[in-house]
Amino acid sequence: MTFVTPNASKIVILGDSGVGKTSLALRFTHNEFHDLELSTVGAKCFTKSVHVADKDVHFSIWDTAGQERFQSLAPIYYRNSRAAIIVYDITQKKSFHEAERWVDEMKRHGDEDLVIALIGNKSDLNEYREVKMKVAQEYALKNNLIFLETSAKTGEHVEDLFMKIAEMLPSVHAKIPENLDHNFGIVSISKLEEKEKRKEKKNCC
Amino acid sequence: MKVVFLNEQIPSCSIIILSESIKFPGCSWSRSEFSNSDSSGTEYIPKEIYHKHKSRHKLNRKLKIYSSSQKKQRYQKIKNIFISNYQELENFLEDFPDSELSSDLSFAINNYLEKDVSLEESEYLVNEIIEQVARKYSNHILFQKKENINLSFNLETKFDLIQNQNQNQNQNQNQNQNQNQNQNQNQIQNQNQNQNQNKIQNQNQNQNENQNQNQNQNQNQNQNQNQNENQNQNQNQNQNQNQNQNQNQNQNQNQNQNQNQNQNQNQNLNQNLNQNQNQNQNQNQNQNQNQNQNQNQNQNQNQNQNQNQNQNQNENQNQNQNQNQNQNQNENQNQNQNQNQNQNQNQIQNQIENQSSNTNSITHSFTNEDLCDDLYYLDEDPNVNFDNNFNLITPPKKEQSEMVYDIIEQYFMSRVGSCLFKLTCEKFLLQDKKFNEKINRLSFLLPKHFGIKEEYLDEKKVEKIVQEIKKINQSKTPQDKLECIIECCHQAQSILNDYDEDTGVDDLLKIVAYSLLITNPKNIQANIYYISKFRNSKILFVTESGYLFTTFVSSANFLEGITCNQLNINQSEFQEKWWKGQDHQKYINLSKNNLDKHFVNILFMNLKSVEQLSFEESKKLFKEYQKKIFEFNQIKKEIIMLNLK
Repeated sequence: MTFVTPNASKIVILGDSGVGKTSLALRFTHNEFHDLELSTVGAKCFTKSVHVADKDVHFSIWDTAGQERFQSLAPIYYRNSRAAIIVYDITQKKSFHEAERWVDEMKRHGDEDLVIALIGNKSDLNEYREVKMKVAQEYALKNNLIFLETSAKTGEHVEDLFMKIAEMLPSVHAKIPENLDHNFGIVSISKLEEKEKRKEKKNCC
Repeated sequence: MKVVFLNEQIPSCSIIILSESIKFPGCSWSRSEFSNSDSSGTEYIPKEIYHKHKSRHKLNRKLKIYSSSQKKQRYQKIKNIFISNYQELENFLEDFPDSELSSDLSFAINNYLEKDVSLEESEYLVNEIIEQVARKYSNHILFQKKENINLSFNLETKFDLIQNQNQNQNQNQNQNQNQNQNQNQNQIQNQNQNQNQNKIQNQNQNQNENQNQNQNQNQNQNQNQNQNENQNQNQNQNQNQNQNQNQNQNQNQNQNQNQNQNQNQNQNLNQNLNQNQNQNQNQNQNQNQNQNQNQNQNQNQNQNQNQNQNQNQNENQNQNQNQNQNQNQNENQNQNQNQNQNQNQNQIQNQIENQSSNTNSITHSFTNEDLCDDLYYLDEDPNVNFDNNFNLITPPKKEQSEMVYDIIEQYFMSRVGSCLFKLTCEKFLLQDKKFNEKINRLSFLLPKHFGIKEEYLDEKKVEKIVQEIKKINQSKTPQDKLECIIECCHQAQSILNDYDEDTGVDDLLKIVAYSLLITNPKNIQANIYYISKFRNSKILFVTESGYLFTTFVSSANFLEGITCNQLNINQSEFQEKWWKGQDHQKYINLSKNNLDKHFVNILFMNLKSVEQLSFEESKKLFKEYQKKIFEFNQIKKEIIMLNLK
């Protein structure tokens, strides 16, 4: 079992099934790629740390289910995530439309400072390309997304992707408040009341 | 000279010293060169020496180089000790020496319980309280805790280990040499013992000195909490001294028989600990009497004989203790071997009583190497620094503060959790009923319907998953519940490892959902809510256990909202089985007319979301339908009447 520090920032990988979500995570974390010979064992929480701007950024990468039947479960996975990587297969037009749907959903339901990246995977299969790079790039520009075409097989741009995300993350570690109260229970109840009062005030206004 | 090697304020330091001397049994550094005696007579090790000591410690570090993953495993193991022992935890927190943690915690708990808050309020309150307490004590608790458990562990294991070694040596020597030689060699061995254990002073010096020093020895040993030895010595001295030499011979013979038993000691360490501690408590009165007798006896006898006899007897009695433990397992086998049994009957009785009372407390077993490893954990940690008063300077590492949070959470929730869980169960009563009903009706589903390949599905592993899911309701605190869920997911992952194909979350979800379908556990929604609200949210959001928890939750949600479109099954087949032996057939049989039957069939077949209705909802629908039919029939009758007219 891998040991994960609780202060890692969570990244969720979304996309249609078969676009290579798990392989992308595997390539980044272990620098491995299993072609047809070996099967990838997914269903894990991948972890890796990156050094950016004199800071160690710990990633905890959550792979999600791609099959259509599990699509309704995605909100549980992307809750509290700092970044979302939406992957499509450049050899499948259908997967790009699916990616667009994911982008819409993340814009609607994600946090305000959520970093979203649109990734066209399998760039090594350029001959069978169905999604033009320009189309995807324009879409990404319009929606303010990070855009890259990667290949989990060759490892092209995979490292860049995570470095870019690390740079874009607003504040990696939350600050701990300095002044602490140690009057357990009493203080917290009064705090609770204060919160309720604030809510009431807001409602009044 | 007194040796007090423990500074109560930094137990970790004392641990290191202990372990060091054990690692280098031949080391000859005298304590006087770096010990400052206090006005009270106790001696502390100053900081510089501690650091000198650290450099010496690097030698040991070279011997054992750990990878970071190993360290983390060890850390996990330590953490597990704390978390799984309620009793130990509670005892520790109540006896917490320096800080006001126990009073703070009990104040917080009482404060909480008195207020009789609702579930929504307590969601906020409980987390707040735990966080506050954890922050306040994140510096202290870990280190104090380590000392309390691990130090005693180590003393015992080291003691037993060394005894075993010496016993083996004794055997060989006794076979080849005379009793006098044995005595001399025992002395040397005892010296090694002393050096190794740091409990007894150098006895060579004392042997040739005055009797008063012997008394001091005894006193010092008492101070050093080496109560086992004291007991043994004192009791032995009360016994027939003329028999001691004979006993030594005979008992060394017994050692052969006891070797295997001594090897089992390490497994029974925890039991030893409790036994010995309780023995001490019970026999304190005897000890005091014995001490007085010891002094008189020491004056009348040769010192060498006393020491050797005593120490041999110590070993023997420890053996007897171990034997007595084994006796509980193999009652009659060892009784004949013990010569001292008749003399120690009271002891044995106490032991047996204590054993029976303490079997519940700790049940962990460690190898000796693991315990040695634990010793080094603190000192290897570069973030641990001490100021002049040996208080921790550096803020606690994030992992450590998480760990403290876990400990306090576990303690707090073990007190409050059952009442909170009842509240959540009440809140989710209807939802859980609905969930169980739905799963009951879905019980016809097979693995292939989920898309699981049956050839890879190991029945034993599925059974394990089912057992883990059942365990969730039995455990009290959110941490324990989460552990069950994680274990369940790990088993599911191990099934995936057997696959020849690519596997992802999809497959994991399918397996977990299928095993949930088989077990149909009660209160599953309440459990999920309870964990998500009262477990440390940081862990649930980011870590791997959090990831596994979300897969479990989402597979439960998947089952809750399942439709036939999400399964590999024909719609007609699904609906047939969904209604099979259920209300649909009953209603068709109940309805008298063919027309009614026809309507019922159309109604159920055409309802797209019919599989999403619960039993009660569909009942209501059917009642409404019956009303309509009734009205329709009345209109029909009227029309017929009109036609007749």
